[in-house]
Formats: sequence, C-alpha cells, structure tokens
Amino acid sequence: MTKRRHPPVARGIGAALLASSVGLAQPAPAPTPAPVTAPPMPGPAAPVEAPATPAEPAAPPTPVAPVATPAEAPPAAPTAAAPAPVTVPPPSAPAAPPATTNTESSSGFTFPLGAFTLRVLPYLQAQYESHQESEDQLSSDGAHLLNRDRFVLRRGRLVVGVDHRWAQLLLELDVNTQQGVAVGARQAEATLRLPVDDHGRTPASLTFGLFRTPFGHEVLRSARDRVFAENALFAQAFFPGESDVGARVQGALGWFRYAVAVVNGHPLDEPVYGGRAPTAPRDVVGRLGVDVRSERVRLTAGISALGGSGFHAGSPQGVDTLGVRNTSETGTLTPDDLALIQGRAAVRSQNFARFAAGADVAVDARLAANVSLYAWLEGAFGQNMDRGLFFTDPVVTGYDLRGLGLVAGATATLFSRALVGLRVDWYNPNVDGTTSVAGRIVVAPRDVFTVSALAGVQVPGTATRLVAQYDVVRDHLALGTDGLPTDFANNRFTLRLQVSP
Amino acid sequence: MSARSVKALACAAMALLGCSEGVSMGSGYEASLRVRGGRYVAGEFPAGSDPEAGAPMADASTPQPPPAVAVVNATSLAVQQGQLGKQFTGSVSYSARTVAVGLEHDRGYWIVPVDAADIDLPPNLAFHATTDFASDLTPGPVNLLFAAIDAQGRIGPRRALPLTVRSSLPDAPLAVVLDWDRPVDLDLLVQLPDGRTLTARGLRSADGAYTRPTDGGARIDLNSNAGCVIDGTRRETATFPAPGTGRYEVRVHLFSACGEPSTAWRVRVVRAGTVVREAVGTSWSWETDAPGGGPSDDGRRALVFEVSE
Repeated sequence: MTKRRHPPVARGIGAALLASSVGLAQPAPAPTPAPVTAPPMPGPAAPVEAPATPAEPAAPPTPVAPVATPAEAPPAAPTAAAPAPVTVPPPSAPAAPPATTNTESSSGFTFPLGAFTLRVLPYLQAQYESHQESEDQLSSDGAHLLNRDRFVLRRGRLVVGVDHRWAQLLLELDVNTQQGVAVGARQAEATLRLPVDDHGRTPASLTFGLFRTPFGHEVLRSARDRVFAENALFAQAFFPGESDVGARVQGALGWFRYAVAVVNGHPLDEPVYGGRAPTAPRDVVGRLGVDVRSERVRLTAGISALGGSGFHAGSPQGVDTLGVRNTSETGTLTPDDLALIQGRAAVRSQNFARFAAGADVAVDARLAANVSLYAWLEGAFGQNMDRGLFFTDPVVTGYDLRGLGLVAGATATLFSRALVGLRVDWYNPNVDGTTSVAGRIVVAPRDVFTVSALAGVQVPGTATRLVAQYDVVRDHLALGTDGLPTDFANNRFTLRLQVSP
Repeated sequence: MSARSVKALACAAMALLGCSEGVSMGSGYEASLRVRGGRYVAGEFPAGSDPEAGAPMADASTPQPPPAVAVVNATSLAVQQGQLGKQFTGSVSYSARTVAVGLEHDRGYWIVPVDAADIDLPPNLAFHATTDFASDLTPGPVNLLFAAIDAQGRIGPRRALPLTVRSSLPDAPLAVVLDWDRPVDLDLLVQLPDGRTLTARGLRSADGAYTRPTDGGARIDLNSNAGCVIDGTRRETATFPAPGTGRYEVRVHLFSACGEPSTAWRVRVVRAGTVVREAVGTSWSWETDAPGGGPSDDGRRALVFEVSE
C-alpha cells in the first residue's frame, strides 16, 4: 500500500477522487506544517473529472429546521504532503504548479495494479448537534422524532476508484445514522476519457452513472473538504443529495473547465422519486468555468445553468369508501356520522418546466506565512427548482415558483492547525410568496437567512479536524400574532469530528 | 475558540444585522388542549385588554378598541377525555388577525389565524379551531378561553366557553378498562366467578366454546388493533351491567406486538364511574403467540378483585 505522488495514470483518479471538478476544494488541512514553503500542489486539481460525494438521506426538510444535505466532491488536486500511511510521495510530480493554500488535501491510498491503479479514500464525520427547537417527543402521528439533540454519524464514506489510462471507475459508499442506520451509494461513475496530463486533467471524458450534478460551487464541493457542516440552503433545495443519474461530458483545456450532463432530474435525496426516473431524462445541466493559479492564489469561477422538467404525480384510481366522523360527538355511531366517500378516476400526471442559473467564484490564497484563506461567493436563481426543502410544484400552486439563493463564506487556516470561518447563507424559496391574512392575500416573506460561525483545530497535513459551528437562523416558519409568518427559534450548534487522511 | 465564543460571535453578528431570536413552537403535548395547525405558546393564557380602553389610531385621535371575540360556536359544550377533532368556530372583530385559544389554568395556549370574512356577521372575520383534548384532563367543568389579537399584537378581552369534561370511563355498575401505549394488538380477558372468560369474541367456557354476548349482558366493547389493523384506540372496556358476586381475574394478553418491542398497559376496575382498583404492567414482544395463532394462552394476570354484592 502506498501513498505517493501519483503517476500520470493514477493522477487522474486522484483528481477524480479528490479534486473538485469545478471548483476549489474547501480549506482542507494545509499540506505540510511548513506554511510558507507550501508543498507543491501536484496538479491543478483535475477540475473536470471530479467526482463528488453525495449527501445523506434527506433530512425532513423540516421546514422547521432547514437542515442539511451534504455533499461532497473531491477536493483539490492530489496533494503532496500529508503524512501518509504508507508511501511518501516523491517530492514533486511533473510540473506541479506551486501550491498555494489550504485547499490541498490527501488523495488517499493508492495501490498500483498493473495497468490499473486502485485508490481508496475513507473519511468519517461524527458529531453532536443541538437544535433550539428540539423536544423529547414524537410527532402526533408517532412517525417522527421531535428530538434533534443527538450524536449522529453524519457521513462514513469510502471512496474507491480504479484508474486506467483510458477509463476510470469510481464508487463512493456511505453509511450514516441520520435516520437510523443507512448504507448506500452516493456516487457510482463509469468513465471513458482521453489520457490525463501530468496534472491529472483530461481534455474530455464521458461518464455514465451516478455523479454530482455539475452546477455551481457548493454542489460540487466535497463534504470532506467543506469545513462548514452542510451545504448552503439553496444547494440543498435545488440539488438534494447533489448526485443524479445520467451521462456527463467534461474536460479541462488549460484554465478552461467545462461540464455538461443529461440527468434524470431527480437527485438522490429527493423525496419520493430520488434516484428514480418517473419521466424521460429532460434535464440538461452544465457549468463553464475557469481555474487560474499563481504562486499564492488560486481562483476559480464559473457560470452554471439547468433546464428541464419536473414531475407532478397524478392520483391513482380510487374506490368508494365509508367514512366515519363523530360529528354528533355522542360517542355512538349515528347515521349522521357516516359518509360515503366516492372513489375517483385516476388523475393523469403532468410535467412542468423548470430552470436554474447560477454563478460562483472562489479564491484560495496564502495571505501570509501561516495564514491561508478560502473564500467563496455563489448565487443561483431557479424556477420550480426546490426539490429538497420547500418543494415547489407549479401544478399545485397554479403559478411558477421562483427561488433565489446566495451564499458567501470564508475560512481561514492559521498555523496549519486552527480553523475559523464565517458564512452567510440566504435562500428564498418563493420570492413571490403570499399568504392569506384575514381573508386577504398579502405578500409574505419566506426567506431563510443563516449566519454560521465556526472554529476548530486540525491535524496538519490531513483532513482530520474537530470543528464547532453555530448557526443563527432567521426564517419565516412560525405563525406570528399578526397572522404573518415570523421567525421560528431554530438555531443550532454542531460539534463535528472528522477523521480522514 | 470555544463553542460559547463562537455562539457569542454569531449572535453579535446577527445583532449587527438587526436580527432577533425567533419564537418557539413546542409540540404542546404538555398542555391539556391541542389545536391542530396552531402555534403553541407555553404559559398562562394572556390577560385581555379592557374593551373600553382602546388605542389611538395612527391618523386620528379616535381610539380603536382592541379586537374582540364576538361569537364562539361548538356542537356541544361537553367534551370527553381524550376526544379528538372537536371543532370550534367563531367570529371576531374585523381588526383581529389571530385568536388565542386555551383552557383556563392550562400550561399553555394556542394561536390560530383568522379566516376570511364571516358572512353571517359582517364585517367580522371568522375563525375555526380543531382541537384535541388530553386523556388525563380532569373531569368536570372547565373554561375554554378565546381572545382576539390584532396586527399590533393587542389582545382583546377573554371570552370563556364553559365546557364540561366527561370521564372516558364507563359509568356501568362494574367495568374493567385496559389501556396501553403502543400500537400493538393487546387483548383484555376477564375470568368470571362462574369460570367462564369474557373476551372480545364473547364468553368462553371451559371447553373453549364461545357464546356471543347478549344485550344487557357482560361484553367487551371492541378488539382494538385486532390483527395489527391499528385503530388508534388502544383501549378495551369490559362492562358488566349486572355483575355477579365472586372473584374476577383480569388478564392481559399480547396477541401480537405488531413490530413493537413492548407496550406498557394499565388496567382499571371501575364501579359506577369510580376507579376502585388499578394495576400497571408491561407486555413484551416475546410473549406473543405465533403468527396467526389465536389466544392460545390467556396472557398474564393483571389483577384479581372480588365483588361481594
């Protein structure tokens, strides 16, 4: 078992495993302790072929507490440093661009197997979380836990890749206890590609399978590398679970990155149809971006778009049933308590159009000898796109629902050991939201505004870290005395331990 | 940096942004009244404003009276312990935006939005509340309070609806009530002084033959959750309109655990509406019969009592 700087072939999968296809990986532990002489970054993270890691079983997008669905995507390029279990990578890989900051992360363990290279990257996130709205009760139907203060295995991931000069296989498995013990695949990709260059990039590749939807920055970022506990809300809403099943073409040409995919349109953690295809694939999604590096700074930016169709399920054929309602409140059955509920003929299902557009930019910079900064900004607009939190269905509402999301954040790594970060996340699932107050339809805000602050420590040269995060959430999920939606007290605290090479 | 520091920083950031803490919305299980779709507020029902006081309007010196509840309607003023889905409707002032609903001296109350215009009492607005009452609500009189709230948060005068809470226990000369807490198929069996056993199917004699219950005779009202068809009742009641004297043995039989590991149960012997004996216990899934099997055994003994007259 060896951990080393990847040979050209292996580098491809390294990128796949760890490089964020489109963006920077999030501040991962700085390569080696030596801040200034930062170890060279093996290759400009193979932006394109990156896999991503998925998220979890959707959390009850409880309106109440917009929790999270994570995602993950391979981080940056295979990094040099990182004390590794077995092999120590040779000092430098061919033409390794100067490494800059904290986005580098380990590429896991590699095992040369003839013409193939097997690569394995495990990571585990376990945490304690406390929610302001938690209560030691069950919902009235007994089906849901109202307690949300708990220890939970958020993600236990094993990413396995098999890399060949012309092809690549990637499988990411997950175990978690979000809603009881669950095991499943978060990514499964079969890829044909042109040979990768010294930086692990390929000008073109064709992938079939389950992969991260190539949209924006948040969706493509690895949960392993993302220091904040979960994705921004709009990313959770538009792409629950991040991954979808389909076909993708992507590549890297110099600093230019592109990715286009046709997917089923039902991301993995979408309730009811997640990972399935009630309609023919109509969603076309893609991202065009740039990835530019200098000695101390790396800049990635891109624009994304999605066009496709959603699915409104019809109703199955019903049968006549006898309904009982104790209208007389006598406790005994009377004729008035009985009602014939007539069955109805099946109602057809309908498709509806949806689209999204977004832009993102991220900067990874080494500000000083012992300080590196990772900052990003992303915005997205979508129509009928919320598939994970508030569920937009224009067939139900009678009009198209427009959602808008923005996120800006920054994390700093200090002396390779300390982490601090701040993120501002705003999501409005329906900018035209209205409600009925006293019989009148009035405009009602629906947006959710979250400020997250974190602090933590990490083991230099690894993605192992202990991070405390507090989220102040301001939303409109409660009923105010004025009849309008008002803020629901649902702040939360998370203490997460992640262990990973 | 500690978690507390992080929290302080975050709160400071929020304060700078002019944000505030939100309202809490508990499940309201602690209260004896629950209102579906309403927002629960822990604490005493709010004191209403003086209906004569009023507040000056923004554009004039004419005081605008606080909102008031004009009418409250209900099918009946009686409510049973544990009753579900009891509807209350009413009419409130045009300026009202929400209505507070709660039982007097309860641990909390509920906020429900008003509906559209009340076509029977214009220009008032209508409201409705679908309520559930706790099973341990004390029998007897209790006031259900209503108060209208306007957009400024002013609370109008209370309006009380006098309700009578009826015990859910039967008032038969003798009754045995079995309650349990999980969705399992639990059966009540009562061995009578003459040796027969009263079951939901009827009277079972020593040779296993069943006799259907007769009008006016001892009977068990229903077989709750029979065959794991969950009805939510989780109660079986044996009533004895003319109880014979002698020794009665009450047994509890877990016919099927329906996937649950266990259930806690309570047996109460009731004479003319008053509980005279009580026993509690737990039945475990391993006590059940084989799937499809009938009550091949009579479960476990819960209690024994004597009727002397």
